[in-house]
Amino acid sequence: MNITEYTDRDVAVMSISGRIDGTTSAEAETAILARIPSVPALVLDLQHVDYVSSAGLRVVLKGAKSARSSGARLVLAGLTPQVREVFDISGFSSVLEIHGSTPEAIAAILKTGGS
Amino acid sequence: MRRAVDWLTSVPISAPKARPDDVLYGTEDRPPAGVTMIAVVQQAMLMLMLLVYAVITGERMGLDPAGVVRFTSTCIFGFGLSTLLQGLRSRLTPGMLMVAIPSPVAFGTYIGIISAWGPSAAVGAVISANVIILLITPQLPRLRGYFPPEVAGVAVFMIGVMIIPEGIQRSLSPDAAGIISAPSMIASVVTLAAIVLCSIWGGVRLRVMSLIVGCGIGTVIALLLGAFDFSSLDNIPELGFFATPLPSPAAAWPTFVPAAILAYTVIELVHLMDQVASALTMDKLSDKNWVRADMSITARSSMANAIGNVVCGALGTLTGATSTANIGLAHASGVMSRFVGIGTGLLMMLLSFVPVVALVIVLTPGPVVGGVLIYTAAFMIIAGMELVLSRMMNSKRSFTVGFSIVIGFTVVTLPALVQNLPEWSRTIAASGLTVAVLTAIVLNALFRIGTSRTVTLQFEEGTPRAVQAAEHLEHWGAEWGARREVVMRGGMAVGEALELLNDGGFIKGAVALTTRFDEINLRCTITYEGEKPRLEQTAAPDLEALLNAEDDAALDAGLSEMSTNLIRRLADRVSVSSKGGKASLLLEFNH
Repeated sequence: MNITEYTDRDVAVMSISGRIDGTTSAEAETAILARIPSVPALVLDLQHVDYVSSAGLRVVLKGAKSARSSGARLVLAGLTPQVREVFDISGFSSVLEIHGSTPEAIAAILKTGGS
Repeated sequence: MRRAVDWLTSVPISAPKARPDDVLYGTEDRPPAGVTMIAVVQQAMLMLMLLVYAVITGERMGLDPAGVVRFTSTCIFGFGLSTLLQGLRSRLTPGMLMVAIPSPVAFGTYIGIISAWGPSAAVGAVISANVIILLITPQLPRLRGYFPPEVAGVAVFMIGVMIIPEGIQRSLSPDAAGIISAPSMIASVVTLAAIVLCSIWGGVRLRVMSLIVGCGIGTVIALLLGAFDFSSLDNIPELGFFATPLPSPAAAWPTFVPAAILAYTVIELVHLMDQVASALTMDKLSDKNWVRADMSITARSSMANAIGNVVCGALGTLTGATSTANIGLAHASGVMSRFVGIGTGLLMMLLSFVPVVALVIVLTPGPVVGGVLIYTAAFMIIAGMELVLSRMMNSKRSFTVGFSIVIGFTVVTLPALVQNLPEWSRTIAASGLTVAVLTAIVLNALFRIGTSRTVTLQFEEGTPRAVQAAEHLEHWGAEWGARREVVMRGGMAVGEALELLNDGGFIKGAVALTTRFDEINLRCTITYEGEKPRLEQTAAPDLEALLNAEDDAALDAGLSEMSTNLIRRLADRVSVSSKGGKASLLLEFNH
């Protein structure tokens, strides 16, 4: 798993590639939880993630919980069909903000504000 | 008798169908009378326009104008009956809107047999070939591996390609010097543009009427610009209003010539592939939840076509198969009800008693028919590509599809290559469609040799097991030509199961993954030394409450059963067992 961070039009983006499972979830959790308190919004770009296990789902939910408690906004973008299916059948799609692509997610944040 | 009727009408259960969002009336829906009438007239009109091959056959058989009209009327009756059979639901018929037309594949061979052995040999060949097809079709479900979507896709793609020259020729009407006719081109482009505009931007009513609107506007333009052969009106024979569509007297009694039967059987095998592809396309277009070929429906559609063709043979006409243009029309108009098929069949049978209808076919402006054929060609080529790409590709499957199309195009673009072959085989080898389909069937069968349907992965140290399992499934999924989404779902579920077994401490020794694929199911079995887990479905956690929980411990507790729930929802069936210190976890996925 690789994690790349950058800013696009003042919006923080964290791009993850590879698999988010039991062996990589701790690294992803550390990175996400470290970034959220310092930004009004964070886009998690998952277009290069081909597998998310229940351990990965837990990390994402923990990130969303942290964002909610700190008044920030966690937005997911670019889910592949198989990853989207996992989010759908687990019910996560109904409680998380998900956009088709990172540009769409950034546009949504810029339009409605950081939190 | 009653038993026979009960047997015939008790239809085997197929998978339940769901109407796609872009379809207004699905296979089993009964549209309102007005919509049904419009759809029936439109389907029948298109069918009549595509009877041009019957007209060409009649003319090349040397029939006089009255004979051509009678031959065409008899064709209308025979194909009306075939269409009716396709619309009825029984053990021998599918219950789908599939309109039959004379085949562009068959007419060359049919005329060749008449030239070589006379009309009665053609009757014998048609009947014998279709009886052979009738004997083959009940075995189709068992033969699914030999007729996978990519082979059917090659057939659909090549049918689209084969229509192009006829469509372009009629659209441009070039003279002997090769100079195209501007009025013809304009009439054809207007026809095509009107159909496309109505199909894409028209409302529901215009969409249903797209073909009639296109043909109507195109005909007016053709007449205004003079893109119409007025000399054809000079040859109108004296016709009564009503006449029984009788078979040709010369063809009434069949004779059986082995070489003729062999040549026509090959043609009917291509028809069988064509019919399977058409039934598959229709089934796919009319079912939102389509996942795989419903071989029961495709077999019954092929049987109905063969029965109709036996009748056509006895009536002294050439045979046909489902019109792909009519499938395109059904999809574009959103009316795919089988009751429209029944109505179309009955209307065609009635119209066969009115000779002037057959006559009008000859008078339809060529550029208008050309525009319709180009529209159909575009639709079929894309439908063929979609069928090919509905399965995971690997080098064998890529080669099967690519090489078949190359061979087919070679025959189309270099027809001189087959000129020195024996006459009987030339009728087969000269068709790009026939050659491409036969090549695809043979290559697919060849590449199946030596491909194991059950494989076992012994996990190695160093790489996470879930990663090894995903790579293993992806590799073999491509080898087997499995659907990508099923393989990806399998990889997700197996990865999750391996993580659960590992994190839960169930695994005490060596682990293996055995995968089996049989076109209907993908079965993944994880076997290991250790204990079996309890995989009971539990209620989904309240995620909103977990997001608002005070501490992370509540979140962890709430998600503790997430792994089990994911496995149960990703797989269609899950079972666990253990014996003698060894346990196994079976995950099954519908394919």
